[in-house]
Amino acid sequence: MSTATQTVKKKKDAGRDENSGRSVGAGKGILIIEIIVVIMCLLWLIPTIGLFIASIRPRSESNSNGWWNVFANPTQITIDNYREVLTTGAIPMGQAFVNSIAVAVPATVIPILIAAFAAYVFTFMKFPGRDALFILIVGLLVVPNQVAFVPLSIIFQQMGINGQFATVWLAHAGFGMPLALYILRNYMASLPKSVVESAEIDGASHWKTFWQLIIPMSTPALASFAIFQFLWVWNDLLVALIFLGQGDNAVLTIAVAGLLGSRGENWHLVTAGAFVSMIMPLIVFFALQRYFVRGLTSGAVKG
Amino acid sequence: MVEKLGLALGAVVIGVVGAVALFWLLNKACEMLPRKWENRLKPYALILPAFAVIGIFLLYPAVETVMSSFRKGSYGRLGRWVGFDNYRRLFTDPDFINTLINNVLWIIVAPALIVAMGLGVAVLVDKLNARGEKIAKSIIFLPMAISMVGASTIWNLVFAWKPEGQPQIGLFNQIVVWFGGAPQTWLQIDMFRFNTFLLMMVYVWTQVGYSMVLLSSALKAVPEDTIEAGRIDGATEGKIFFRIILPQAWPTVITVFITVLIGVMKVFDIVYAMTNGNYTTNVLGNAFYGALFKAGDPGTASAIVVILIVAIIPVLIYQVRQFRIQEANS
Amino acid sequence: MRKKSLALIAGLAASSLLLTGCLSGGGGPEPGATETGPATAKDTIQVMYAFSGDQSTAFQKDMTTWADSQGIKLDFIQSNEFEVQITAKIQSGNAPDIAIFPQPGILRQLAKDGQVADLSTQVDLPKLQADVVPGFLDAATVDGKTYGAPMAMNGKSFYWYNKPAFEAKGYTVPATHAELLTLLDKIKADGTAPLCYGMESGSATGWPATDWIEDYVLQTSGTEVYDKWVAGEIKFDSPEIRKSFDVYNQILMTPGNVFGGIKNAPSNAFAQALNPMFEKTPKCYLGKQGNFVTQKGFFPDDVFAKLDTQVGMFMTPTVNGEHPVLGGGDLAAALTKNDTNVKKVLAFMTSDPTFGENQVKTGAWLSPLKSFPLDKYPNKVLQDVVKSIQSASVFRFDGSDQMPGVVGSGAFWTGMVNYTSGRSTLDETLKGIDAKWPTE
Repeated sequence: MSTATQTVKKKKDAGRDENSGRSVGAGKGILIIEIIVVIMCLLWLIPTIGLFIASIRPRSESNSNGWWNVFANPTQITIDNYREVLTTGAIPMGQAFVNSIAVAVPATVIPILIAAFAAYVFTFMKFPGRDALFILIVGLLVVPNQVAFVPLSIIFQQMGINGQFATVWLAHAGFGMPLALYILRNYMASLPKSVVESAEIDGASHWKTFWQLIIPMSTPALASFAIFQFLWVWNDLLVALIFLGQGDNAVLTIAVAGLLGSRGENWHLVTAGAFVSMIMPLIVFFALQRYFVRGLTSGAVKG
Repeated sequence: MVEKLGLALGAVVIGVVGAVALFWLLNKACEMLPRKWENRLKPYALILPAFAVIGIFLLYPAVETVMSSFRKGSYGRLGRWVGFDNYRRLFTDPDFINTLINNVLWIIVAPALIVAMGLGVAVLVDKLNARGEKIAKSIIFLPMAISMVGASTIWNLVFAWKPEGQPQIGLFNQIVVWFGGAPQTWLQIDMFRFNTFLLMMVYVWTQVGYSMVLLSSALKAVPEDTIEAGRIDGATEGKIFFRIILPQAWPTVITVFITVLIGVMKVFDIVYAMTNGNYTTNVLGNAFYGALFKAGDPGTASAIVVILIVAIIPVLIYQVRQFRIQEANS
Repeated sequence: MRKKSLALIAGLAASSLLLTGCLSGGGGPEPGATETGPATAKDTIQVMYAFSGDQSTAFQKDMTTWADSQGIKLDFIQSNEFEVQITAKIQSGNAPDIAIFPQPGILRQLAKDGQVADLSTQVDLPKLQADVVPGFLDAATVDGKTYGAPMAMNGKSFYWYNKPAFEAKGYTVPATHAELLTLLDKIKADGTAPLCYGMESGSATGWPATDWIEDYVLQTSGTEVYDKWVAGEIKFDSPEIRKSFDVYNQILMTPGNVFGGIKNAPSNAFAQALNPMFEKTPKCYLGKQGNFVTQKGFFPDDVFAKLDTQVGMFMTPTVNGEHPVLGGGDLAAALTKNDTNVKKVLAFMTSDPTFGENQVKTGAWLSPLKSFPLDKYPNKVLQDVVKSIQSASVFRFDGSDQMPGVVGSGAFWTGMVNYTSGRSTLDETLKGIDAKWPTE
């Protein structure tokens, strides 16, 4: 036990020197790096800035000239698009937002738990067929989720749960499982084996080892996968569309896509809708960001 | 609304408690068995839930898909068995050959670019102060938070074309016009597959955040003492990076590369939204979608998926080798 | 046509429906109750439809005002992905009582499967037949039985122009195809491209071009050929259909005829493509599009505000003396087959003069009924549109909406993109589309 904690602690300390970074030749070197990073960030931001400006301009302007014209003519700025998105529309945004949370949170938490157990087994237990099963999982990573839509809708109908949240939870759990398993196993494989071995010698059961050692040591990997899974589920349109549809349970992506209008005439509303739907992923990202900076795959390095 | 949030909360609690209870039961059940059987069965018991889910949601549909790929299908109805007809038809269709070439291009260029850029950003921001690093990372990560509908609107505002002399609403054409050129229909230019590279650019924009986040953490986990040792030996920064840091972060680089590669093989929504495969930009993901949902031809759609599955075999072989090496080392 | 959003899953309906039917063998979903049993009278009637935005709001207002007076409760399901959802609902035994179909294809498929009530058991069909534009109901008819009642309509055989500028130049509205060609040459000789044209529509890019071809198939070869072509009995690569492509060539592919160049049209957003004709010095004088261009969000706001004085419209100038009109619309059908309240709702939608009072104000809705008072339309342009459709010799429903998805929302679109942008020759295009037509 104590060895394990020590190893973890040492790794974390080594991994974090947030304030100083690894700078050596400060001064000019740093300046060049800063310039490169700033340029790259600008390039990355410009498209999004374009979208944001389009979201605060009236449709007639967005249709007739480029978003950069706003700088020459700032009086165009309006919040009408946001007002319209939030107050009108076939699916109320507030309700869709809550639905999205009701879909995304369970669809993130449940598969991670299941995958963590399986990843532990794949990493620390030996059994016949282990390699074959793991290879099967990697193979399944490449299967497009769409192949499952028709068979699944039949299964869900037979279960009588079509249109309910449970369908999407289950579907996302299934679709996310191979990647979760793959990432978590690769992470756990790089945790020091000695930890588990010494625990075993101490007489700890797998159950105990898993909960008391592996889960705490894997927190960063779990958190990182949680964020990606949350993002995918949150931004998913197709699965939600097919299993939830447009009714009372419609999620945010469906509501935003629905803003487009029958012939795409309301694309200016989509710009505002896209920003409304970005709020949650960004909150999640910022809330969990410290795990990133801490070094979430720290274990991926051989101990 | 409160009800819905309650439902979500309830689902999380029930899901988590339920899952833990399930595992506990499975574990207990195994422990009740004689020691020998316990050890034999326990691993299978504990991966059972994961495999149950995978089995229903991916394996069963995948097997179904392989079978359907040998059947005739039209209007969504699966018909008689036709052997390799679907495959033969695909491989004699010049459009499909172009689609394959595009996928190969995507596979060669996009994952390498995404990993290299992610690594580059991770290395560079690591040298900034903590605040700068956080801001830069957030900006690079931002596109991941944008839904597909939003992203396709964004890139429309970059590639859009208006006739010459009209005010341009696409950024690229505005820049061209500022420099005195004539507006171009960017996505129609397929010389040297230029338009496919434009689509890759959009994909890279959305995915670098993913590789950066994972790689940055791997770099930070490299023990400081190994780096210090290098410095004491008088190694240059470049040498330290390539000889000391990178090798230690390599397992993560591979994990990221393979996950990105698999994502690229399946790439669909960007192509669908921007060109729908027109102008020789089609990829397998979009061809599959078109065959299944637009043409209602499950036979051909399945054959396309099977081609994808076959294409991943080299990755599988590599993965097996890695797996064995790791085993041997531990 | 709701190509933009519906394109997303066009055909999914058919595929999932039929796959299910196939996989679950004989144990498919129970067909609705028969027309003959004792009638029910549900308190709440579920109505599902595909249109969105203002029209959706106005539709609900129209419906509830009436329903409240009748003591009927209505439960609306607006669906941008109608096909997927209707299929899923029917499969799970949860079908809405009334579904309003945006495309006839799926309605006819469901009718064949016995899921839809014969319209003659629901409403006074002969009266309806006498009131709608001739030909409209054909799209909702299978083996001589009609299943869908039109409740909204649009027309696509229209050219639009900037009225003041057009008149200032001394141009006159062409009455025949020959006159149209003369006019195009004259405008070109005056130093302006005659036409504005765009066919970019995201993943549905190409559909505006299919409307051109469909309209001119009607014009050059008539309804009989049109119907056979839509049914797959006449190939694209046939003398009859080639005539329409010849017109497409004449009008659009002649150098200098399209503002910005015809080869770029596949990248020109269709919704704003006509707007350069409203500039101070117009960049073009004509554009062809469905009547939905007159709703808010298409023409520039200042033009939209003064539609009647700014915008002129004429029907596709006749090629052979006939005046057919190409269009689309929404078809209401009863999935609950024997319910007095369902029948009441359908009767209201197809015969009550108050139905449409709010929808008509949106400028996006036309009544398919000749009895709907003309003066309720918000502007003269729309009144002219309706008059033109009603005076047309025959109405035909958008062909690509009726063709199999692999062609109608696949090869036909792509073929038009490749042909227009000069990436494929006419022969390659026609043969290429024919090759994709399902063989079984």
